[in-house]
Amino acid sequence: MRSHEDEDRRQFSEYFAARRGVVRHSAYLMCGDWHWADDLTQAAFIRVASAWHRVRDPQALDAFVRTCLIRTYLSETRRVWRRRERVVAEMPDLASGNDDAESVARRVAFAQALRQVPPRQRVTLICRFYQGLDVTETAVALGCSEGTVKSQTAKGLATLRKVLGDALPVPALACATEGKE
Amino acid sequence: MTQLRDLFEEAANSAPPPSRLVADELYAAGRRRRRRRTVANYAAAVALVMTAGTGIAALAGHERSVSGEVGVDQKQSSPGALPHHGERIQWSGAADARHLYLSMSTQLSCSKEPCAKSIVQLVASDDGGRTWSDRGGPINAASFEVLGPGRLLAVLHDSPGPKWTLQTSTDGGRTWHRLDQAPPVAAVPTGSVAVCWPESNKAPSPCRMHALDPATRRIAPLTSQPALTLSDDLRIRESAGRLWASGVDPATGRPGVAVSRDAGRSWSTQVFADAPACSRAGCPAPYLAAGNGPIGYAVVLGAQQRVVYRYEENDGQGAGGWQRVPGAGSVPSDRLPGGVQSFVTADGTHVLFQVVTQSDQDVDAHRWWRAGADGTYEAVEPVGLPDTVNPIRRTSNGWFYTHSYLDKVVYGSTDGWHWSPVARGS
Repeated sequence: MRSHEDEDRRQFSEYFAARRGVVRHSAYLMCGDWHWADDLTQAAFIRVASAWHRVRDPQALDAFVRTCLIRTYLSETRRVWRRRERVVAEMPDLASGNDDAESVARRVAFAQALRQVPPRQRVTLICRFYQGLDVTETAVALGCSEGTVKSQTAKGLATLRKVLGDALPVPALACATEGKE
Repeated sequence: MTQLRDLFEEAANSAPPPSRLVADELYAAGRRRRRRRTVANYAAAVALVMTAGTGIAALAGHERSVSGEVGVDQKQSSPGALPHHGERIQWSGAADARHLYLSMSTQLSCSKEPCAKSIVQLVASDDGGRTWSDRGGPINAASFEVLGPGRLLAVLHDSPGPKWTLQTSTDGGRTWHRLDQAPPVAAVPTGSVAVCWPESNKAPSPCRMHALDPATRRIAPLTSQPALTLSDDLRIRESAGRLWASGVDPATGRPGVAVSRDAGRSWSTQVFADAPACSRAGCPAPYLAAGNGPIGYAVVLGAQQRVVYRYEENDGQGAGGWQRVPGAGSVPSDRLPGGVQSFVTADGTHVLFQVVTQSDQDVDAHRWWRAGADGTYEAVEPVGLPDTVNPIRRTSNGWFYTHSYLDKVVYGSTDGWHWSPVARGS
């Protein structure tokens, strides 16, 4: 049905325009490389497009694209030829116009610390603290138990704390391993 | 936690370079991925079934059988495979969700000269589309009707000579039998169906209401005939214990509908005097649609306008009445070809078809218009159904089906709104 196809394409374009930024930034936090982040975003949205006829609810779409992104990333980190997980002395960084020296330093330090966190723990932290998911939603996105989410969160935060020391906000640690329940 | 989130926000917003991603390209890539996966799944399913095909072929005897991955009750994950590669589906019929029948063209098998297009191969499935087999050989058929599981009615060419005869099959189309004429009966007996067929010695005359028993192969005219010149539809529509016959008033030529609530003993006839003006060729008989209950719809085609009448019985004793549905006029009617005009979904919604000309294809497309509670119609898109399918039809137990001529796919639905492929040609 051509008109139906056109409508699907239009709806997908609207959804892509609305969510591209969030997905791309999440991907960047995961992998630390904008080009790789584009690859991950592309793979996630292609999967969404291939299933566009099945998923209509915006909430379900967000969860679906998140799951696609996470699984694509974790899958790639397990591939030998795509081992981009590497620790570099200095994070490549671009000034964003209104950066001051303090914020740049904080951002670079946090990005370096995030790179020290293993991929799965890092994804857990991103789900919990960047995307604002609770333990249950994070468990669904990662395809694991809620207990695993809590332990991965604790381990990830411990790694961050080890690198950042006092620079990591302490109150966050109190909430980190709690679920929404 | 807010501060930690700020750190993530800062890290994520570190002046990203422009993205190279384009929505249209991603969508196209997604569609290609879906097609590849569908083909791969389909090929795997076919390979699996072909592996087991030797046993199936032995069971099926001399009948050619092609298998697919389809269950019944709309739970199948992929459609079954139709036999006769490359041939078109000419007609589809169903007794219910399990018993499906198709007539397929035989043009590709004519190696030396074009075959008559009325020569078709009947194929059928008794398992909801999972497996298909030929039923007999190619036959010269003008039309088919499904009377029930395994019970078919056809207008077949009775060679030699130009005569077309009504024949029945009680073995799913494998063998066909001519009918014997029986004395008139007062009503359609249980086990028989009402058909409209000219009396045997008056072939060109308008058809008359008959009771046909496929088991005994007897056809008997009804004593009481509707006061209409009946349409040429072979099968008289039957639902909710009512018989619905359409035609035109022999006196005025206006379209009308006759309803019988007692198996044809008596008929209540309504002539639509306020129907729109017809062409010089005369008024066509109304096109009927009915659902589960005693509610029916008659779609009347005028020269430039289409109107809908709704039949409803307001009590359990008196006869029903027909009321014109005011909102049908809002449905575009720039093209009004004859044929099935509407259907009634499982939830009782009347859905009108609109025929749309396609500039880039040889077949017309459909748009569907759903009646609301206030009688107005709004455009709707049934899920999973392409717009180039044939008109939607409904079995007596409420299963919906249709087929696509272009891509050779049979579609089924349990509610008329959500569709899935049941079988697919190649």
